[in-house]
Amino acid sequence: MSRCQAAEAGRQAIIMFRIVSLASMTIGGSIYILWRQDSLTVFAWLKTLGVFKLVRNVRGVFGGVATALPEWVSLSLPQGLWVFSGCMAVHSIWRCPYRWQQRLWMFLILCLSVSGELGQATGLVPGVFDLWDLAIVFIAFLVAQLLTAMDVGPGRCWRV
Amino acid sequence: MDRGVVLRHVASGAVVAMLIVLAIGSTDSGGGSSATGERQSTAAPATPPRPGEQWMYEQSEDPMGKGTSYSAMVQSTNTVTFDFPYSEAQHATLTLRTHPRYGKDLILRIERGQFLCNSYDGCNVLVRFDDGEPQTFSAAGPSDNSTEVLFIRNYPRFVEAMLKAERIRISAEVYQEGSPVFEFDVRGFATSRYRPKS
Repeated sequence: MSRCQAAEAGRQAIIMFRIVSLASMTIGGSIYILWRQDSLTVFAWLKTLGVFKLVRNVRGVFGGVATALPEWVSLSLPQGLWVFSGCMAVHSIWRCPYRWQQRLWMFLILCLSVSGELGQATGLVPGVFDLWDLAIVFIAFLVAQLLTAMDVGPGRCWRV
Repeated sequence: MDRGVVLRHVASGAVVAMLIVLAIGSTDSGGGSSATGERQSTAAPATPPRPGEQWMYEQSEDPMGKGTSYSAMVQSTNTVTFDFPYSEAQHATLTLRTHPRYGKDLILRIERGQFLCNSYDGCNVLVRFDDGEPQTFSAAGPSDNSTEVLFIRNYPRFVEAMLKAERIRISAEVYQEGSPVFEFDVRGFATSRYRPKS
């Protein structure tokens, strides 16, 4: 791959990673808004913004889907999607040739997520500790590592 | 440091901040609203909270310096709507309280309405643990005569049965409203969070 081709591929990769990041964050957020209990803090924010009634109507339309979903989708998947989304965004920001800075920020995202979960286990953070949450966070992190490593393989890392 | 690198750090910080905001938004504030306009409705959340997530725990120091008061609260999964002037769907709240001066109490509270239960004659409430037989518990109103609160007696019997149950239904008489049933999801009660020092 020529330098010019690699630069173009890099641009496209950055756009793709940003789209994937945004999509993961949106899907994770939608799961919370559509299928989680309305005592979550986010619903208080929606009330403040004056869009809670709209959200409640949307929940009414999609609420039935929840019965067909496994519990881990509504309870654990969003956190994994957000970790994945964060890693994708960080990769699109740093990509080449700043591998160590990128790893540092990704590791920070992982640490924050895991410490939040462990905080729940110790009662320091509101919420209920669940091993599924931790497992899905680690899976999301590993998948993100795999994708980013593939993206900056040999010959693909020219600065754009 | 290269300006580009600084900007990248700033952008990464913004991503992390966004994730923190999402994490805060996903915590339970404990203030659900499930008004449906029906007289008595089933829980609104499409997915029930994870067992234990519905409980709220509080500790507060007794202002008279006698020690710490511990409370665990759970909101009813259903709502009820009474006639004017108590209209609008409302939840009931069941509270377990260990107070240094008042001892152990089970408190049933509604947002609006009048329980028919005074502090001297008392009353009876029906309690059903899971699908077991309904049990009668005696109860009393508070000494300040407020009508939205009931104190259910026999704390040890109630809590022992509650710890084995997943769902509790409580029926108490309300002025001009019959005996509405309040349903509570009591799964995942954490004794250690209720009274962590004991």
